Amino acid sequence: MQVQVTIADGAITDVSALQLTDRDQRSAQISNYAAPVLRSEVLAAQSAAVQSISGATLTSEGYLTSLQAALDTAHFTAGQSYSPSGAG
Amino acid sequence: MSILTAEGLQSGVRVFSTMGTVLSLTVRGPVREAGWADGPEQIFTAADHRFSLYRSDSELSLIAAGEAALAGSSAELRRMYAMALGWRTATGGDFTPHRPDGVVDLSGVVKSWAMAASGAWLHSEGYPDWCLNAGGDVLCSGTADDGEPWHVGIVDPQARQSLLSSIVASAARPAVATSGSAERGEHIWRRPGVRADFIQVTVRAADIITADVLATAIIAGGTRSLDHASSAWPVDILAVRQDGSLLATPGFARH
Repeated sequence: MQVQVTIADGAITDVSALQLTDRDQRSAQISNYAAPVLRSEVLAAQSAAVQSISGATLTSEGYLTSLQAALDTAHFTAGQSYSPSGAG
Repeated sequence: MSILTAEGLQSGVRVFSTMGTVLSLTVRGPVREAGWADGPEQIFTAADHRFSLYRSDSELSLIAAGEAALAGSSAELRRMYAMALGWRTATGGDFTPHRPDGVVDLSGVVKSWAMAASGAWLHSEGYPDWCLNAGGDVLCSGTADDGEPWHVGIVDPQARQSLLSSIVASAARPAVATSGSAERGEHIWRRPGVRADFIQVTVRAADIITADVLATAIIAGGTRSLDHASSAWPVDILAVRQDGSLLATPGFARH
């Protein structure tokens, strides 16, 4: 919010609130707006090591062929993070 | 049932089946020789026995079958139901604990509640550094082996062996949940006539229940629900449209 201060002869004579413009309100609302992005614009995944995988809820069967299973296996065998192969 | 267990001075890993999915827990050591992961396994098993509709003998199944009254149910069940109703209100009905046939289905909050309870148990046991993954929803604490925050990869719903993105499970937002149709097909109820805008939605939040509920609500409610969630909660969101294109809040953008 902005305020308007009126000064006369070195003294404050009036303080009044200025209403937010429609544009100000809009920009406040959209500060966390989800906008279209290219795949290359989201945080790079392929080159960075990850320690866990988030995805649609796995079935017990689906787990067996999942990236998370590969990651868990890597933890067991090497105690290391798993970097997905086959991409950048 | 434990599928794999390993423990040592460096770290402990426990993988077990629960709630129709698989839970993976990694704790940076040193961990105790035995029983170090008993808390989470007991929490999930107890919640599964009380709330799962695929177990015909669970308390919630007995209520669904008309063999027990909701009014006479356990305090735990009524608390869970009240929490789910609170989320229904907060999301304008996009998240709901009611199936179209009227059956009370608390699966939308039970798993993430059990994750949060497990996290509290791990803290109470004095473990600062751990990462819990329940079938694709992730809650982490502290740091990974390299001293860095835990990094969570986000599955590409159109190529499940690839990652779409990754995000840090930060101290402020350590919970990452993803909802979508890639693994179980269309299993989230939509209102009649509501088209499916997204095939996958990931939410990072301060707690795993908020992340999980909002991811489900956005799948159900589409773009309108996404805009509501991103403005009303302090969260980061990555949504994949039907055609594979992406919508992301600034937290998911490359820095």
